[in-house]
Amino acid sequence: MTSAAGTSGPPITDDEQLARYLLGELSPDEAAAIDDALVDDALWDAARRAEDELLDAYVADRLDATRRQRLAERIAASPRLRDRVELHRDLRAIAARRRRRPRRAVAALAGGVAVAAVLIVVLVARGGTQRATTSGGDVVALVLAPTTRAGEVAVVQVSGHDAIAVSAVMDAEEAFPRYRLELTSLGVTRWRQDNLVAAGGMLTLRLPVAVLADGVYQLEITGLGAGGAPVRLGVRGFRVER
Amino acid sequence: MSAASTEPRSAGIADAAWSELLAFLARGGRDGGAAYEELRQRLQFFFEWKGCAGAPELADETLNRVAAKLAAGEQIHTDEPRRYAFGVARFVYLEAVKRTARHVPAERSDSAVAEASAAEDTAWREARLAALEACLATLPPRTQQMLLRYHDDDGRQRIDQRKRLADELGIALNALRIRVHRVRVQVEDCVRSRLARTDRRRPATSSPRTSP
Repeated sequence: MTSAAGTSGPPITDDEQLARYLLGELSPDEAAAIDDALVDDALWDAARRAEDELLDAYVADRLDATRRQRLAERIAASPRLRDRVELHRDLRAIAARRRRRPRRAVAALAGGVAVAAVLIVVLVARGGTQRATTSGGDVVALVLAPTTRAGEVAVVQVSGHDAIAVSAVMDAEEAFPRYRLELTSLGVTRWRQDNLVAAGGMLTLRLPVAVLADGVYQLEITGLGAGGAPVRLGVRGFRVER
Repeated sequence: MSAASTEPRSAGIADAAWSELLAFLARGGRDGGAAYEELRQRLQFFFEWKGCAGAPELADETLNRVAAKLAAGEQIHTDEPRRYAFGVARFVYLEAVKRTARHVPAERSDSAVAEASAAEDTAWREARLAALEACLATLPPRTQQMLLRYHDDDGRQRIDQRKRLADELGIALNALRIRVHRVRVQVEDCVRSRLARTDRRRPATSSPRTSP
């Protein structure tokens, strides 16, 4: 014969405490109290809302690095949470698109022809957090901000690296469900990738260093809406050197 | 007790055990099949937020164990079957922790999420967005507007925007959150249902990269 565990009322919780519970930040005793209380309908509803708020913050990139990492671990392990992240992303994309429609037409006419000057951060990653997960080799990372002072061109040294990760920091106004990144040099396309999704406010193109000869490159960014025409968002330039 | 024979059940539960389980769950005063579905959701949630990989399977394992005890004739004296199941779930969780690493390696998880997103093909993403648009269109205009304005977050004025929205609706910010959550759940169910009808499986691998 088995008896049920003793019961008590659900613990008093607020949004922040539930967020801490979900992210594994509570003490074992505190977490166990909420585990028990998940059978309570009111707390169950509150916990699901807390989940929503966390996913909302994750998609909007409003979490600090530690929480973002903790949440990313749970999302990576759960197909359901990944689906929910996509829903939040899609809702934001549709909301942004509807807000932006009148302005977007003007922006498209402007053509996005000005080649953005770049503010660069060059990170040489050897065994650090910038190591690519798929290439298995060393990666040099180049981060291109939207625009700063005219005339500056980012220079990235690729000697000794197997791959390069070129990231474009996206403006919040440039939110699209997906993007195309096209890397050109002297008018010739060197690499192209469709279906990219911004992560952490950035788009990243990874490619083997061997593909790129020394020279100047333009990274063309195009927003791809649901069923709509591609919208050219701009171009960012950089120079590759060995 | 409801027979609820059409309810999806966890793999590995025999007919007799399944009936016993539904009868047990109906002790909470609800239809056994509905109670089963809701309990399975809660268990999956529990395992997911503990960082366990394979949360649906662990939820099934929990229910299988409860069903097995019942089928073996064990008398479980409780009017709170959910609470009992959560007690079993805790053991399942502890065993899972011992059996496997709890988390995806930290340095990979965020990029894994991004790469999983990037690996979706165009057709699937278009289908998902189309489903969402269609589901939004079924909402009353004011509800749709509320949901989209809530998510129209440019990152700079989010709090102000949401407070303004709550003021316009004449409700507190927390009440707005609750209202949006309910609508979002409704839309999510609608999207899932529409996508299920497309009979389309998501791509598991292959980046859509195109090299020149």
